[in-house]
Amino acid sequence: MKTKSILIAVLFFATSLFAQKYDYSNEPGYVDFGNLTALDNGETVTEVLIEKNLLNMVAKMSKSEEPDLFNLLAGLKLIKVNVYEIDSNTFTKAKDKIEKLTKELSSSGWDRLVRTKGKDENASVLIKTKGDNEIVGLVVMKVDKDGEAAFVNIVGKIDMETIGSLSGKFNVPGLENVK
Amino acid sequence: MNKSRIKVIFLTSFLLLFLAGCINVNRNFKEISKNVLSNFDDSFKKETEFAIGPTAMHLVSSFVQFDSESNDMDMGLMFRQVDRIQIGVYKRNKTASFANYEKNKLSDNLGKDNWTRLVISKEPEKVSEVFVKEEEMRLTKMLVVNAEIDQMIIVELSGDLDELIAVAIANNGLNIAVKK
Repeated sequence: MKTKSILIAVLFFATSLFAQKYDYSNEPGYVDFGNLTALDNGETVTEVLIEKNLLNMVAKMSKSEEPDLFNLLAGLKLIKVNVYEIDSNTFTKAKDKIEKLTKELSSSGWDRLVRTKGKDENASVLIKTKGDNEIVGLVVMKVDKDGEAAFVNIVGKIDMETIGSLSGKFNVPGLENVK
Repeated sequence: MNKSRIKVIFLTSFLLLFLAGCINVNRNFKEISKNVLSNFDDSFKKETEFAIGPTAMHLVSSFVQFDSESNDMDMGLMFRQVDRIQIGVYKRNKTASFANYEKNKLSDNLGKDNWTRLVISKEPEKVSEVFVKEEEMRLTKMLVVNAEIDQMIIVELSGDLDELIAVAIANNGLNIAVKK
């Protein structure tokens, strides 16, 4: 009986520890970009992960001066950005990755908004909708030859009219043309 | 009691008050710095480590409030919300680049202690990482690791940091683009 109580106590403690971290992979708008290390050519890499609590705080800060931004941020749960500086070697890898992910997402219920395929660039913008056309996820992937490859995933309730403002406000790449 | 004795007592009291929690970094920070240094193959050596405690922060905040109007960032807010700052400065002689820096290793190690990475920026000659720690849904700690080719600085802020970090992001954005 004593062992059982200790086991339950340990289990409860372990569960409460793990419960502190929110698992975004259960969100319908979440995308796992997989392993992107092949795009790291030793040059500049930037990764950003902003979670719900912090987004809510930033929203509060913007409430009085930028109500549109407040409305946008208040609905978001996660902003995940991976940006890699690209050379001619990694350009092809990035292009292949974008095409592979675009296919996978399209076949799992994501709608493609934008697709650009060129010799020197490749871009895809996809959205995930739920119920009555509520947008709950956005993915922007783009690569420019000798420029940068960006993989952006925004999770939460997304207003397409104002999502572009994140580009100006937070310098999130690829969002400037999303409308 | 003569004047000089009063001066000595006053000065000693002031210093004791001012330096309460100052100078020495705590064991946690030492663990963190050990972890960070090992991530750079222990090539950086300690130059100095020090802390600024709550009393000093409070005093600084009373001075800074007067001059905060001219700054974009509310410096007064920063000093009011931060209870303690711990800083480590490290040097290294070799000038190897960070091209092969394993960018997830530090995050994985600190993640075991509930640190979450907000940002990493890795360039051949510079690595910057920012971590935060939550306690009861509040951001209570922020850790900044900034390594350049010959010097690394680790800064840990403790306090009620929600507003401070949010203001910093709201004012400065995330500066994500890699191409200059």
